[in-house]
Amino acid sequence: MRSADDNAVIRDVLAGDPEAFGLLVERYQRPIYNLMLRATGAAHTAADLAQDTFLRAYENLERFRPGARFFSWLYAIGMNRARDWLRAAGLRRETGLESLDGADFPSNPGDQQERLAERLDLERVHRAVTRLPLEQREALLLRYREDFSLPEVAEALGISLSAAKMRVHRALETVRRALEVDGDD
Amino acid sequence: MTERMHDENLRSGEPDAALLQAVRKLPEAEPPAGFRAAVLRRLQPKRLPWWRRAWLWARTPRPLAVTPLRLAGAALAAGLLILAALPLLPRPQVPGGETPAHGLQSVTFVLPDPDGRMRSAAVIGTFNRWNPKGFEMHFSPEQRAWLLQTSLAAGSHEYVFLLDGKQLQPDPGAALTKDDGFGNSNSVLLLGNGHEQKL
Repeated sequence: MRSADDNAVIRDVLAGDPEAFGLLVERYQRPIYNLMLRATGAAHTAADLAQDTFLRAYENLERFRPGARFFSWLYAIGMNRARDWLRAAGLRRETGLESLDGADFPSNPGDQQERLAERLDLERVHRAVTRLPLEQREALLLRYREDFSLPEVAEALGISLSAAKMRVHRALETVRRALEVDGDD
Repeated sequence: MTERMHDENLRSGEPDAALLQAVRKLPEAEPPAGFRAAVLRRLQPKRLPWWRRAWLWARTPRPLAVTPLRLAGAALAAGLLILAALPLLPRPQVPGGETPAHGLQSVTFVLPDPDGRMRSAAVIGTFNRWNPKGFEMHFSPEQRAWLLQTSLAAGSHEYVFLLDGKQLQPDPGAALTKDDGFGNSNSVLLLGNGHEQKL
């Protein structure tokens, strides 16, 4: 079980082995980097903030409760870092995230027409999700892409369970409405 | 909603099935090459207190090769160590008194439970790596409270009470609390030099 593995790694790190922390970086660098990329819209800033997130986690590792899910705790640190950055930046991203150039699309088998239609759908969903406010967007992605339970979403976002349910619900509603408008164009 | 998704929704009968599927498939960017190495370069090894290093060392299994010569040497060294340590051995504790180990301070955690609602209570914190084993509290019918007397090193300790093995509660009598990073509070115990702490 991944969280049990994480706890074993954390024990090694706390015993004075910083190299062991590399395993946790490797496991979670992708979602944390993408969280920052969605928040900032700039690759270099996202990399800096993601690094800061891991460093803060390392510095505070003694305060992590063994048995808890490390990824939720790490995500909570990342969310706080992203919020701080957005506040300091006046809630403006450096660039837009409209383009999907260079993004890693899953390639499914199927005929060319099917793949084209799927990509079109993904681009519309991506555009709608990108335009969500940070808190709604991350609630939606944690719940349905990272497969967090609602209590884990609440923990990662530092909010109550009912607030987590509400955010996921609102995010879905907003995306659905945006797709309807988009589809009517 | 796109026409294709709409078709899929009709087929599945699940209003958001296609949308959720699309959310799962949203593209992600790869972190920059060398990200892991860049993080590791900035890490300093954790500097643990001596007693925790000793504890970890004692708990780590290691191979031991024994020869008659080594065995005799080890027996001699052990004998000398015991002789040298005799004057330092802790004095027997008397009821109501407390003789903390060298460098440690006596601490009594107190959690009031006037209605006797809890079935068990323990103290977990940075000093025991949030592990309740050995830090179980006992209920005092006279004081209508759960108590734990233990010894801790001087310094700052974060802790909470673990109730009935599942519920966490900060110490209602603690003077200091600290946010744990995601909305919950830990109680903070500051131990200086000197007297026993009643919590």
